Amino acid sequence: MTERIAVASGVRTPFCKMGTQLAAIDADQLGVIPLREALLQAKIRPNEVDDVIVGCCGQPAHAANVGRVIALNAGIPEHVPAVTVHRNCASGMEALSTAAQRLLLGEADIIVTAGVESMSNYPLLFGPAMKRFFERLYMAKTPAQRLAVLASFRLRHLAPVMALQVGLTDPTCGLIMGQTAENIASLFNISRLEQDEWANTSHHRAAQAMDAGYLNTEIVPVYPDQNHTSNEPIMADNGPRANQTIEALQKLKPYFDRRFGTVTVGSSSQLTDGAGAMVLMRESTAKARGLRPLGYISGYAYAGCDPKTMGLGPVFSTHKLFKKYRLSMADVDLMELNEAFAAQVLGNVRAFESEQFARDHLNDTTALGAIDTDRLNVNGGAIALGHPLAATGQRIVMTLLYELRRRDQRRGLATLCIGGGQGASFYVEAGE
Amino acid sequence: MTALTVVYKDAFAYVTIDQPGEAVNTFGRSLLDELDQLINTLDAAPAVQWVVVESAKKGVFIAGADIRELQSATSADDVAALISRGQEVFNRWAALSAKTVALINGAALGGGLEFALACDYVVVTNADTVRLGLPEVNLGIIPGWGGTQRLPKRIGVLPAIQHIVSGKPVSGKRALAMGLADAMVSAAFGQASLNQWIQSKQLKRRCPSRWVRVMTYLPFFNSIVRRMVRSAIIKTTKGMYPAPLMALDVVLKTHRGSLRDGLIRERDAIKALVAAPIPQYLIALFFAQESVKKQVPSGITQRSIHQVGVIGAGLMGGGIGWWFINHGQAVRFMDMSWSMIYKGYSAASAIIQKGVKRKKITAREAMVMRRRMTGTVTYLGFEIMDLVIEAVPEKMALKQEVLATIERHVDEQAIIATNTSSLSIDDMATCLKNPQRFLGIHFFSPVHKMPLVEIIPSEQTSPDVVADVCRMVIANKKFPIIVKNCPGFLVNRLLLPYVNEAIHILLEGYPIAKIDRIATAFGMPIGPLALADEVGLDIGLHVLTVLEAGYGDRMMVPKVLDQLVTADRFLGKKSGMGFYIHTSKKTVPHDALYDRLSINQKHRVSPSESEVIRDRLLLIMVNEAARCLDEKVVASPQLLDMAMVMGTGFPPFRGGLLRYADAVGIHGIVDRLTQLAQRVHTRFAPCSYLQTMAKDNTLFYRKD
Repeated sequence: MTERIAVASGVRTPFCKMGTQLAAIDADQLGVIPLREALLQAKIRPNEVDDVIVGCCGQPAHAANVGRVIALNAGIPEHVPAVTVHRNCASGMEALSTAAQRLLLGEADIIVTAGVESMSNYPLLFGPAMKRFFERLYMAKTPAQRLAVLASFRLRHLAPVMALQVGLTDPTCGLIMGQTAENIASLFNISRLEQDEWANTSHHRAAQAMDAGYLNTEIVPVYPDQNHTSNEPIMADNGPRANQTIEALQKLKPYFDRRFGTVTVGSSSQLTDGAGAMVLMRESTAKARGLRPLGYISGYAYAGCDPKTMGLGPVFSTHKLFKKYRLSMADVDLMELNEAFAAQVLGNVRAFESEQFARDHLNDTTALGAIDTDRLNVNGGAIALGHPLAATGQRIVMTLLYELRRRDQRRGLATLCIGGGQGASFYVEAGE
Repeated sequence: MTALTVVYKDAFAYVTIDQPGEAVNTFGRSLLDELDQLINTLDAAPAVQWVVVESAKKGVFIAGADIRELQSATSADDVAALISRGQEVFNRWAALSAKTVALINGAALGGGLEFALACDYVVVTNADTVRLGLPEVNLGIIPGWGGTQRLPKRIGVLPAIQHIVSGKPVSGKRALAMGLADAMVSAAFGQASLNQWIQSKQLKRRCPSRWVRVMTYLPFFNSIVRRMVRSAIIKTTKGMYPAPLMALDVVLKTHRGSLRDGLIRERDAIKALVAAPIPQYLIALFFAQESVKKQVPSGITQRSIHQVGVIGAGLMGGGIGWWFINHGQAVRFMDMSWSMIYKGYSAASAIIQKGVKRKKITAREAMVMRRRMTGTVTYLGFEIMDLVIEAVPEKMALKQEVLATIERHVDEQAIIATNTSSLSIDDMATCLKNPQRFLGIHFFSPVHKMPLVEIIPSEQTSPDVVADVCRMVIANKKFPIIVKNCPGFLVNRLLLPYVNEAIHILLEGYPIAKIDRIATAFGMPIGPLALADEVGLDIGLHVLTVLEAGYGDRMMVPKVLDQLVTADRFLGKKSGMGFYIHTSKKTVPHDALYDRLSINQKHRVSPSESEVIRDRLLLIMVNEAARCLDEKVVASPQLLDMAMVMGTGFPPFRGGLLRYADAVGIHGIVDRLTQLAQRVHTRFAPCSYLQTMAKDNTLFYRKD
């Protein structure tokens, strides 16, 4: 990159499990909360924004181009354009990289990005049979025709399709995401126990970080609009379990392959509502405005891989990133690797250090480099905090920057696997 | 012709009303004369079969009769002549052989709607700005150009009475539903769309169904309607306003008779109404509202205010926050903790929810409004605030500390304001490095209901800042009144002596309920002691103490009040005990107070004593108001009266405190005050301003 991209601010809502505290707030409202706050914390007035880029996987049906709806609801002036981007789990990161490109091309000076997901509000859909029934009913002109159509109704037409479930299924290989994790587990021979240990660690790390208040700076409290039982705003993620034990995790049944599988809901990321937002500008702009950025994006890369083992995406994208910017694992002080599944995290750990994998898949002679798991997801990951798809990309970049700053370290790698067989990797540096 | 232009096309005459140099069209003598001439022209043009009348003003068809002409009419006969002239022209208009259509694309109010009613067809467009109404009762009169005659014929007697008595305009959609409009056409294609209606012969004049018409001839119809509507009117107006009753009377007495007789009765009714001063008072208040804009100093900079910081997210902070988000600004609450901020958020959210319940806004709009509120516990983001208002508790040291902290966090352009009801703005300003951008904005509680805002510049406040804030307040649909910094500012300085006087009177043994009843009988919306309970005695005591400290003896607070508040914790409604005992079911006078204070309660109050009590309550205010004018606390008697009406609910039909004083007469006021000063206390001694007035034999409103 010709110039680093300054992250002027980054905040997110608490991540709340699907159907809990944030369930009443749909994506077009939820996204407004961190977006407004990010602007305020970056000291940017809404009329100074040149562009709005929002990642969202499940856009509400009533708010097509939800990014534009969020922008207007957040008081961004009408003349400022807004777009919604979609790269599945990396949608929040896609917002960042798209913004970086526009900034570096000089198309904009200040861009506010966001990632938002309200999984609680993913709709239930009628199947194609019911849809056809309605179409025919609508087209029928005479009462006789209408009667004929009505007579064709069968109870099975009512069987709903969950948008969430079909959304998490890869249409090219026909596997649901958890099955791709099973593939990785068998590929690298990752045991059930190893997976549960990682999940357990994730919960404990997240709980400790919450206790210590490390996450408070990145979270903007959310005020429930109505039906609120408590008199307190929603201040914290509700996924992490401080009292999690391996024993409890071991009791769970494999979910995706009930007979031979190893992946349980306990070692998978949680379905969650949440949103995050970050304000980006060129480093020079931040300097000219006298801002103290949270950190900088110094490089990024996306790469594709086999959809059946989509969880290994980070290996491919990080390899590309390292090649592009001449980096190695030695240049990484702290790392965030999204925990779609514990099996997938551990698969990446093995692939990163495997020379064999590098030769077979990366067309390289040396391994990518070993991941020090003590410096990986130090404040817990999506298994504990949840994975509100598009919001996660925003979260792992901002949480990495906050943690680098807290530890007084400099360089970080944030990487994420993407349904459909891709990986995204961002190289970031902490602010001064 | 200047206001009316006519374009002839085939069998159509298109009349456009556009009064030159005016923002809206109003019916005055000149427009009536022009219309009269137009009728002559149209009478001489038999080829014209259709006359379509439109307005060229944006959002307005005809806003009503020209109130200035009504105001300047010197006698009841003058008014009657004006009424007759309008009736005569409208009758001629209605008698045109061509079909007439009023094509209404905006507000058609009062005389404007009466003109439309004199047309054969009333057609509205689907524009949001369309409003139809007869708001005359709001000015103390009734519709005089056939409104009471032609409206019942169109929509039925009962709906017409309801419409006229309420004085509330209706939307185009509603007008169509109630039969007031005959058709609705597209606003974008007004004329073309209307032509289609006419050519397809679909345009039909609507009238009430046969059954509704027959019903009005039933023997008991009149007496039933009269009883029903009368009691409803008395309930809302407490019998203080004769106009709605008069409107009811006129409609009921005329709906079975001829138009000619009806119009005479209509005119006579107005003549009778304007013989009393109420219409003049109400009209003067109407103009006083307009004069608010003239106070705004001509500033050079024009800051627009989008981001507002509110420090202290209590009930007041929440109310202030709601006012801003309701008008599109973003609000950032700052308080000590997130749960405190949640209080402000909830207070604002509750007001929003009421709007949803009353269908003023949709649930989705409510959500978007709520998203305009953010919070911080560290002044984070205050660098981009355009205006910061602190609403922390009324303690000088605390406020100064908060203001100094605000100044450290905001940028140089930001306006800093304090919401205080009692503390000195000049004293507060001393803690700031740049006091030019600082001023007081005094909101009245509850913020979402009270239309008045006192703007208090300090000695150093820049006129630009005052101008910017006034403009913002006006744009946000409240009335700003610029007040000089003094203890209590304007409204509290006048109102608190009234409450204080009531307490003095109570201590003399007069019954609580009786004192309040004397005030409400005068027209005050609530008695002084009940008001004290509403506000909270602790808060009242605090402001009273500040006033006593500032003005000395004449605002002396009875010592026992302090006992009641601090020792007995009688705080008013919020603690359940005050001058009244408040339970969830009812409110009764707190008679144990007399024993507690070892006073003998008087159970009988003679009419002459009642009169003294009334005078004590009112004249203590008049005396103080004269001082306020003397000290130039407020710019004019008009503004003072408007502030009293909007800030305290002083009865509008009295025209305001100073109008009332003028009605009593300067000598009457001074004599009575002198008497009271001798008999009750020196606090009643007429101030020098009043004495000079008496010597010069002038009134507050000299020209009236």
